[in-house]
Amino acid sequence: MEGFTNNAITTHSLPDLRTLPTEPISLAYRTYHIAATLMLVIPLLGVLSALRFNPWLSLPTFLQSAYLYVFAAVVILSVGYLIYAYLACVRIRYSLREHDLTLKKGVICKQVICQPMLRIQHVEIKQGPIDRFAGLAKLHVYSAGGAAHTFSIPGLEQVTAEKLRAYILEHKDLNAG
Amino acid sequence: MTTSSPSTLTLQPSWQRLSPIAIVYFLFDVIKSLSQSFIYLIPGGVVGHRYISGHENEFLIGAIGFIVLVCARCFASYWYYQYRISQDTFEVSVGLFKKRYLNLPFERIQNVKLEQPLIYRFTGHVAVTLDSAGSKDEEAKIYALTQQDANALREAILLARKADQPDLQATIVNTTPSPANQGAEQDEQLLNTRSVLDLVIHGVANNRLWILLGALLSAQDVLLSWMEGLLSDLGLNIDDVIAQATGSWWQISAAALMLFLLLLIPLSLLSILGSIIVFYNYRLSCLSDRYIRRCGLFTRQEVSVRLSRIQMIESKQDWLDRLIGRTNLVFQQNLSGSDSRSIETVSSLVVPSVKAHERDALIAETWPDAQPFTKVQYRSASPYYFLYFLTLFVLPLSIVTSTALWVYLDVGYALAGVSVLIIIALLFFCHWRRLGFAADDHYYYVRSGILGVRYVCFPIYKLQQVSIEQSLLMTKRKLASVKFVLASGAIVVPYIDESLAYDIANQALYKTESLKKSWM
Repeated sequence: MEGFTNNAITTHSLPDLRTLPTEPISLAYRTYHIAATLMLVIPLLGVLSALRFNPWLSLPTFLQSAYLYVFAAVVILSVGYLIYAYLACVRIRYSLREHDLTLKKGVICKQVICQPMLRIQHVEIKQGPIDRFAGLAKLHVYSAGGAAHTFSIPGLEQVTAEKLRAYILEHKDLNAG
Repeated sequence: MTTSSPSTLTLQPSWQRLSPIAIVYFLFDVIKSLSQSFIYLIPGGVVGHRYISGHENEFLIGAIGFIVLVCARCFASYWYYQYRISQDTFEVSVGLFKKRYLNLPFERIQNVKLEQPLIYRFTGHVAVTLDSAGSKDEEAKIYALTQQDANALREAILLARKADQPDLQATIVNTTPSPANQGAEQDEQLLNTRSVLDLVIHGVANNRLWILLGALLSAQDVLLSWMEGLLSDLGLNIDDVIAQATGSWWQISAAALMLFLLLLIPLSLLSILGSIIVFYNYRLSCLSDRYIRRCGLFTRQEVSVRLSRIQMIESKQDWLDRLIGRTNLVFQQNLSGSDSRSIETVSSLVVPSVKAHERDALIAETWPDAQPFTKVQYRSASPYYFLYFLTLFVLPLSIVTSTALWVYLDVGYALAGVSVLIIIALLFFCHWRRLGFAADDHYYYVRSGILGVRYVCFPIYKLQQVSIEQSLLMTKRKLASVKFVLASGAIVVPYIDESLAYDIANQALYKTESLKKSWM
């Protein structure tokens, strides 16, 4: 019973998610995320145009007339997404406390997600080809809450991601619950 | 149950084979899966029929070969299935070509399920399924054990995690020597049984076909006009027939109602039959720290669940359940590894169609410090929840659809479109009215539903993850939604005060992180 305390706690004296100091993810993430999106959209538009204008295969007329609409839809959606990504990427912030990890994100719909350390089942660092080129990494933290609720921080510098993983793995509460 | 020899199970740490009766089980398994895919073979049979008639001998050889192959497969399944039970682990090695080895420590086993299919009743064997907390792949099935061995294994597994809790160990040790299943049952405290009448009620009230019938009813106009067209083609006019009929309009409608009820009866009967097959002779009992559910008409099932594995208690009432005052109570466990969340899943502990006082008693028995769900004071969701739905979704949609319908079709269609949206809005209003959140020192309670009611209660420390969501409009009104992620799924508390949202999230995190209690 040594060191045991049982002081009364009021809700207002609890550690608060609102006043939590957070740090941003890597600034490079926005650039590379936008670049990655463009690398997907531009070839897609190219394939669409190639199908429409190639001299070997002529499309049925209804597909020919649909081309413009599909092209316009892809462009509008991509531009919309790029604007959103431009605004959203810098709003992703995270925070590490003694007992939990927190992620704040969102432009129109703001989200604060908090993952207690002692419920973490395993940690994973994921790097796509672009991430590897940029020296970035994505940290995935799994709990028993299921795959749909995987806690993940994108756009971390590789060193930071590895440090975070090491911190989580060395945490004394890990696998305790 | 023909089990007289003393159990040797826990004393043999060497690799063992199943009882040869397992071959029959494998055979039934193959027949079952073959009959399921038989429907795809029918076209082949039709095409091949002419060929067979000329080549009976070859076909016979082929058929015999096939049967030999199936038998060989069943024998191989039996021969290459070996298991070993040591002090605290269960190991299994399966497969002829593709070897698979699984090592399952007792402490990671979440459920022990004992199943007795009809074919095992004569020999007194059972099939045991060991559910791990992890993925579906880590489920182990021991296809045939004697009832006694199965009980011994179950005891060993459930005892494993209690080695460091002397007071509990004492209770268990007392129960272990009881040799047969019946003996073990004597020590249990019976919590609930379901009579056939209860199951009939469950079958009627939980008939998912009601919804289907509703859809059929709305389609009856189309059906009637089609039939009318058909009859007039045949030279009959339905109006004339009705006019000439001696009965008045109410007699005709009564006849129609009778017809409808006649249609309803077989469907309800099917549902009742299903309910009885699954839940027949339902017994929920408690033995020290675990619940045991036994039920089933053809295949008897026995599921043991440690109380600490229960993540939340859910009380579900459909509108029909509400009318007859019954509730389905579900003790939800870890669901992250399983693929189905339906009410009949084996791992969830369902008590079908209980009365209100039975429900309260079961909750009090499971979590004595939890309050009865219906007596808790719930805080309701903000009216903006309904208002935003109305102004941002229903209103624009009704303007667009009604104008479109009016322009392209007729005013009648536009009115019909609007009335559908009004019904949706009314249902959403009911949903908003139903929403509620309550908290005490140890538990959070959430109420939801539309026409029915669903109560959920969970110990705060079982939290896996928490998130708070706010749209721009919600931020302006200082509102927020909280999502509590548990191992049994997520629970959302929408549109409450921002400060309350953060308070309950902080509180949940504090409880979880300071208590450091296991969620399993």
